[in-house]
Amino acid sequence: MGASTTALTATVNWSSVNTVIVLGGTSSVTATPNNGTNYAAGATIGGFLVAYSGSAATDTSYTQGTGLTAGTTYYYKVWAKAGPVGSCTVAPCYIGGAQGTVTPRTGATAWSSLTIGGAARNPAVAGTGRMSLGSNAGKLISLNSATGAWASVPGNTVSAVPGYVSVFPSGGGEAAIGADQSGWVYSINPATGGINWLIKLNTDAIQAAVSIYSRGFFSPAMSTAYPGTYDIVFVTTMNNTATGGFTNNKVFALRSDTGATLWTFSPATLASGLCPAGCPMDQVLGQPWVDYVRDRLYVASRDGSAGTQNSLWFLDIVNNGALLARYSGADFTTGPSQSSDGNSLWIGDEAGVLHIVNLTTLTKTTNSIASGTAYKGFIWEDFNVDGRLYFVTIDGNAWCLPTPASASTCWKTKPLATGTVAQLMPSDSLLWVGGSNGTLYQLNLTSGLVTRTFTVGAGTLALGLVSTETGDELYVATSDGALYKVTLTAGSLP
Amino acid sequence: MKRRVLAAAALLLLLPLGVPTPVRADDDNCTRQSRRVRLPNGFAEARVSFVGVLTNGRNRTGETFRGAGLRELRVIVDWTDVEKMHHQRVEISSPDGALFQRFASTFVGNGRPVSVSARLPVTGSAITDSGLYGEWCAEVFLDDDEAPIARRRFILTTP
Repeated sequence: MGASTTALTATVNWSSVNTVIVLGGTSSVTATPNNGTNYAAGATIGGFLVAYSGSAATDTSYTQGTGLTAGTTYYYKVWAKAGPVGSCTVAPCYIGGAQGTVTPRTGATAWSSLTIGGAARNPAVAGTGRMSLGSNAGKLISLNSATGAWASVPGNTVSAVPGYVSVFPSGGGEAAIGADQSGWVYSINPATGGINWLIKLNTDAIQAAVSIYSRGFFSPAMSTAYPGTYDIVFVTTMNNTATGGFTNNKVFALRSDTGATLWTFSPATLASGLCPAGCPMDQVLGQPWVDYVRDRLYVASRDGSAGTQNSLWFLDIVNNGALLARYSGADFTTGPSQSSDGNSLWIGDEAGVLHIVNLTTLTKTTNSIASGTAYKGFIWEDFNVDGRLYFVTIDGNAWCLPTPASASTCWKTKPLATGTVAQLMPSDSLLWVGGSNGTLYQLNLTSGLVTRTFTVGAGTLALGLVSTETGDELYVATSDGALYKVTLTAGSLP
Repeated sequence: MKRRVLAAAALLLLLPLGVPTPVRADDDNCTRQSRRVRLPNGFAEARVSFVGVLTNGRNRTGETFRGAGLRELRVIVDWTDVEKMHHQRVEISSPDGALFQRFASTFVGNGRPVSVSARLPVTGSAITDSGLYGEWCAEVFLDDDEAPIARRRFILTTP
């Protein structure tokens, strides 16, 4: 069940094989329809309005377009109208009873959209007129980016989808691929919610977002190695301790059209090259990076219970994931990122060390300027100044380095005196971070000063990662599973 | 927060129906509690405990865990007296009171103690990314019950 609001309109979405009844009110719905009794829209039950009483199971939404007031919270509760079941012997038997809320807002909040059942804190990823995201509720959700209403019925997953989804062109439309905490990978059509394919990999769980190598960017060597029309999906694992999870993690390369496995990189079982006796691989938590210039995949993992295992892995995609290099000496919980000139790879570790890899020579240097504070998320490079970096650390600081190896900062800003901020997203001149206090912060990239703030929703729930669709708006989620669209004015918060 | 308070109230209202075993009398919204309920084929009682899996692979039991260096938290539900197949739902609420994640599973009891666990990734997850530190709440529901049969808090401290 989902509930969204844009302007002074509320939309309730549901997924049910039965018709449904929707009760609404301005307080939590405490009434329950009586089994065996039919209710018409407009009736009341225990003081709550029957907002919708369906007769067609194909209906999946109800919209209330009048009578809403900005700043007021509206509650909607949905029951399925089933046939006789259990102790209910006369239809309709009302089952379920899922409640969601919306609070219409004016100003820069274009819409908010809640899909109940758990947090959805990863950045929403843009498609064509849609924003797609995974949810702890076990859903792959695609929302209409103009209204926040469901673009399609969410695809169900076995368990929570902890990483963000990848959206890419597929078969004349789009596909959204996500993975869950039970080791399943899903390809969903975001326009219809239909499942293109799903596959259970030989792993306990997947936490990192998957990566895509789009065929449109294939080199001749890649086209020769992988003939056909499919793209390649890279999936990394988070095995648990019961099955040797700190040593036996893997990278899977899958066909985007079928989910079939192209190859598996399993370093613990290697017996050649750089790992003649195998190289144990700890859990991978950050998204792997595809190097389109060199046809490589860069994977960062944790470094084992003793802190001695390899944790940075360089794979040759053309040669079925052959290991080109690996490094130990760091514990990574994020993913790497590549410089705009394609020559460097950057990633920060749990000890606060920035790792800089020369991708031509595959040599690594470090910068300990943030020593003692773990890095959070990707390292971002300025869109206009090569080598100027921005990142966030777990203590809530946003950082700017003039160059990767610099021993001093351009600036360092802690937007919240108490609390922290999630991963950042920059534009040409600004960056945004979501605060654990429910406030969105806008920083000037030149000075690092906080130039604008924006209260998201009621301003009481911690914010997740920020994303955008066109650059004219921001999307950010709150910890209750709601996604907000905030309209920018000339590229800035109001 | 409101949701958690309502759940607490529901639990307290239902306590007289079973055999309450509160650890603490004062309610702090997620006071450790469990109740014994009557089922068509016997009774059921559940207790919640936590095991933190640290970066070094060691396990640590308790209620308070350092937010940094915690790979995952295992929420363990120990059932006693239960017979036949049942459905278990564990709802984890973040410090701001919002439902963070729900774990659903089935288990089969034979009258002897049985444990069911759920894994909550911590390091590198939305928890550390969004700084969701503070007092969390784990509530356990049996079958279609709307009131929890057991609940207990755990605390993730700021790194």
